Amino acid sequence: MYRYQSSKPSLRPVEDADISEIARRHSEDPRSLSELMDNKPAWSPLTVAQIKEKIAEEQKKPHTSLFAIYSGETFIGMGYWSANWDTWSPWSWFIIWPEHRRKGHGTAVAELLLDKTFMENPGHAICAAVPGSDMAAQAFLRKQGFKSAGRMRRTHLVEGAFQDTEFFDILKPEYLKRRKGAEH
Amino acid sequence: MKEEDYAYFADLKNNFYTQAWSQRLPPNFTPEKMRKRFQEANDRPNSAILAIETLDGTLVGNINYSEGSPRWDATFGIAMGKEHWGRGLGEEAQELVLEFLFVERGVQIVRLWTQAGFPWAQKAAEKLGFRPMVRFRENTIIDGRVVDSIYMDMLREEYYTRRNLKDSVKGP
Repeated sequence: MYRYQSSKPSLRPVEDADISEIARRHSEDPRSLSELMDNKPAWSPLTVAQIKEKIAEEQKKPHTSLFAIYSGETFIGMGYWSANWDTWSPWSWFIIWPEHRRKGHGTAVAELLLDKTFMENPGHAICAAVPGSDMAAQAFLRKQGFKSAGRMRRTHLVEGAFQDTEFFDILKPEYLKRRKGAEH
Repeated sequence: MKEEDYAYFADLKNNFYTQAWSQRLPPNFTPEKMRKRFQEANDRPNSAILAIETLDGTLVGNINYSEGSPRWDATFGIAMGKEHWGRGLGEEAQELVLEFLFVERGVQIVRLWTQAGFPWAQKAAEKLGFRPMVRFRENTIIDGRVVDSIYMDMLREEYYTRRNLKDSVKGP
């Protein structure tokens, strides 16, 4: 397990300058941010104003954070964490922009969010979801200690074929064991 | 829905065995609160909460569904008074809603959520043809115990095959 071997990422509020960048990336690949934007249909383009409004709506929810991910002064991605439904089992999602992947940032952010969930929040379990076809994301979650929880069928349609969503979870004792192992 | 139904529904909501699949909501529901809740649900497009009543007019519970993407998927749930369990009424009500969703609405999949603390709920869903697909470990607290949350679903073709029905509207 890493322990911030990449430059430690920071979670920052999403500022106006970030929103322009998010809008640009969304226009290039609407699907990658459709979950965060709660955008239906997932392929639908959004204006900057619409993205800003969606972010503002999410931020209003209690026990919820939508944040920009920075490495130094570089905006490398964005994410979401919410215990709005249940503090015991929060939900989190994040994306690292493609050109910043394979540099350890994802692992560093995952560790940061797991710390937030279990060390700064009375969470016991956290789950994550990735498209069933995204093997890289599934491998990433397994590497962080997540275990497969199952598959939700027919969550979306891509190029005429049904796609599923894979779910994973990790429990606090499992996380603490990994964390303790990484510190020694 | 009749005005006098809301008092019964408030009782169902205030009973930890019948109120919800996982959350432990404070038992402060009143008939007025239930009326408002049902009104809001029924005002939403492609969703409904319906009273379950026997042929002799006895109110036994309610059943709800909500389509995620219209004609694509729906999630449903049921709440029934414990005094009416074990008589096949819940199964019959759920079959009616499933028929509406698959046959009339043409949905591709119906989803439901339950939790391991009430094993009878999963068993009842499996009897209808639902399959447990996702199990979130130790995800919730029921009756003072940490239990798993369970997501189950039924595909359109599974519904039709299980009931030996012909499907003329298959979808993508």
